[in-house]
Amino acid sequence: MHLLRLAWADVLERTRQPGYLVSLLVMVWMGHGMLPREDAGYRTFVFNEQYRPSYGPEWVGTLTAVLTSVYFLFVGFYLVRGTIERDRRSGVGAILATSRMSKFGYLASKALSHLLVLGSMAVVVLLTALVTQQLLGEDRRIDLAATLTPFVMLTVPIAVFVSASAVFFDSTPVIRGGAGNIVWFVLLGVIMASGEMKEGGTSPSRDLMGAGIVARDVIRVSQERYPESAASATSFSMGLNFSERWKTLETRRFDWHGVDWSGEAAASRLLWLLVGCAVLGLAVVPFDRFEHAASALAARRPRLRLGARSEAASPEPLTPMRSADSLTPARAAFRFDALLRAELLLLFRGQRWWWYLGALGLLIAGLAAPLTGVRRIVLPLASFWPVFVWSALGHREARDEVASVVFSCARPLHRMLPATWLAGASVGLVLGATGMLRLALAGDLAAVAGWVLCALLAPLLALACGAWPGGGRLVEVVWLFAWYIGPMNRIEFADYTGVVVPRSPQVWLAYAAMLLALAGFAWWGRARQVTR
Amino acid sequence: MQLVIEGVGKQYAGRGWALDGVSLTLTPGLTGLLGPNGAGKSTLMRILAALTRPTRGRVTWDGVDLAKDPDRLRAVLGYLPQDFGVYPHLSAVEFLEYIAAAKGLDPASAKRRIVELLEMVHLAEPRHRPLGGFSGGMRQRVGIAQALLNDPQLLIVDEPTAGLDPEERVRFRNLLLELAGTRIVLLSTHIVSDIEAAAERIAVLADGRVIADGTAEALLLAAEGHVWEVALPADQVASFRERHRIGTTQRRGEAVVARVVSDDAPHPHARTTPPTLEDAYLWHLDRARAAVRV
Repeated sequence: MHLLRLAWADVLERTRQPGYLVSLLVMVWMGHGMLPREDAGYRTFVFNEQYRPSYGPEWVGTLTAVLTSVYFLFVGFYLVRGTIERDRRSGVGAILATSRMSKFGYLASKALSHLLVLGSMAVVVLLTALVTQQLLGEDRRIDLAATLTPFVMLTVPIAVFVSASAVFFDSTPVIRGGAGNIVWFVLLGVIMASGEMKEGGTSPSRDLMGAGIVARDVIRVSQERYPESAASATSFSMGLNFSERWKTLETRRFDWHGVDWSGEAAASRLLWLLVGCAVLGLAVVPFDRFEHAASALAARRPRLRLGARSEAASPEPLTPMRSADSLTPARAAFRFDALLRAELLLLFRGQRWWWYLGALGLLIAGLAAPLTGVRRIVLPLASFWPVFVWSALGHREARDEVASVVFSCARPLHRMLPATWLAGASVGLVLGATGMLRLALAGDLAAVAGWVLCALLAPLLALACGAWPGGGRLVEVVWLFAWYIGPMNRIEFADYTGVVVPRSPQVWLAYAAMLLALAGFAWWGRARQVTR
Repeated sequence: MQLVIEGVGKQYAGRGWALDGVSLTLTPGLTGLLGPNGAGKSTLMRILAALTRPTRGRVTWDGVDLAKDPDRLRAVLGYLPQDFGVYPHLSAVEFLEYIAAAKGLDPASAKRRIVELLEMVHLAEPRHRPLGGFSGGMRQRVGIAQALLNDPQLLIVDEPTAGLDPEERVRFRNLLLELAGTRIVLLSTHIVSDIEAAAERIAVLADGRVIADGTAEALLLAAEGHVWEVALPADQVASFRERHRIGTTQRRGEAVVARVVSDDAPHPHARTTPPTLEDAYLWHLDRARAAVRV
């Protein structure tokens, strides 16, 4: 009962933030987009180019359930995590730690809260998909059980796994900060690769999302209905696939009545559910029950300080205070370079040794790797590596509670904002310096210009998003998502680095326009932060 | 040098008026802003520091409207907020250098001033340690140092003694008095003794309005005849407290001597006594609340 109350309080705290409403609106947009029309320039399900089930209740439920699972794994994790850190920073954790609450009880309440938040998102997707199904009109049958079952069998185990993993990452030193986000991404890549559909299928127990179970059944029915589809080489994909040719390619539809969720299929989903529970149980081991939160809290809040410690920490004997008139006079002489240096120091201080090591590795790789590798691997990685440095730019004043001090300084918009932006941009320019040099020597100045634009764009995005609660997290998710679609999947319009795929003039124009728009939003957002 | 606050009001969406028709004119000297929690002190401070815009009314610094040109005031402002943090990975010197750069100070002279300020607030020794490891009191002293970085003409300090030990508090009050000789210093607090010791002028804020404004003597004079002392058996104090506003109590043998703020004698044996500033403050609060009820 305590667990439920804790979880519910956590859910209320989150759902009363504007960011939650935004995330639900995103889910409405996604729920609609998961069922593309035949003439859309993208597909969310591809089997031998043109075959797919009709949008009936079974396929609508299954397709949206799989895609929602993908979203939870790649984005949902980043959206839900961080609540334990919030309790640590706000001091709520220290208060809870003095109660009889058990470690597991606390962590389970957090996982349940994550689950409820993800669940609310899944409900929004489901409802939107049902409306879209009616609007598309391919098969207007309404069968709630058929639509809901895939969510129960596919999305619920993923939501449990993601919720438990978020709790585990938030409880574990080293990975509870930004490093955890990278570790999760790499870990996901490994799990997905091991469960990838191969000829003859993959073992359901290694199929995290259950997409293989769905694929086998859909392919079987498709080949029964269209025998010629069996003759061609099998290509199967669930996710975002962009191509102009899909606007004109005829779609061959067939009726599909859903997966028979019994036997091995159900057992494999149960297995992932249990893996999630085990991960949650494991989180108890590294969780310190806010042992280090009390002193941190005391230091943050003068009024709640631990009096004895604080006074004992006074480093010097008490002597009369020096007269203010004897100080060196303050002389006003603004120097942009001094502010930029201070901003750079602020950016680089606090990065861990491994971050510097990674940065050094990227610089060396930029010199040593073949040019194709520089384009396709080194620079895309260099565009990802500073994401947690950039994401802090817009919200660090609020995070570290220095907004009142910093924004009461002279000209916080005209001086500080450009300095912060350029400091952020220089991180990207430095990390990509060797790669840019190689591209310049190879004569590809367009790619160099693309990289410069990327370095200017990223901190602006962070500054533009920083004015809103959860903006830092939003930047990380958007950047990660864009990184996956653009540089990794080599989609031209999404390749924000400008080095992986050569840009057409239209895309150049679009990025230039984006830069200007983001600059406007950053200015506006910072103005809101300065004078609330 | 003059800061004029004219009919300033601040309304937060869904929370009513935090400030309503506040008018004050501040000239060099130390003005104390006294009021209970939630009176609107911090909101007023934030408006004066150009961090929040008033919903109505205006603030002018030497005749320049803050809404039109906030940077004119920011250039001469030192602000110590009530709640503030620090960048935990920077040292005290680095943090102050950052603030000095943001305030537009000459780097060379700022460097010297930073060292001197840190000596002044007794943080010379740990000045190169990351701020994340500082205690609350030490951080408060870093806050004081940053507020004085640009040798401000207008110094706004919101609950500045929170987190300081008694000796540091005394030292800081003396520093404020020294600074107030040629500058405008606005000190907000709900600790009456801080104001009593330092302020030559006191404004009392309650429910978003200025309910008293004057010297400490004027406030005391107004409360004259409204403060009573009465000795009560210890077991009657609780029931007495339900009917009367008791300021302080003091145990004397079997009896408890209570100081009561009231327009009329609260007890047949009560006798008037000279008010302290705390009594006067309570009397002004009671009078303002009674006026609202009428």
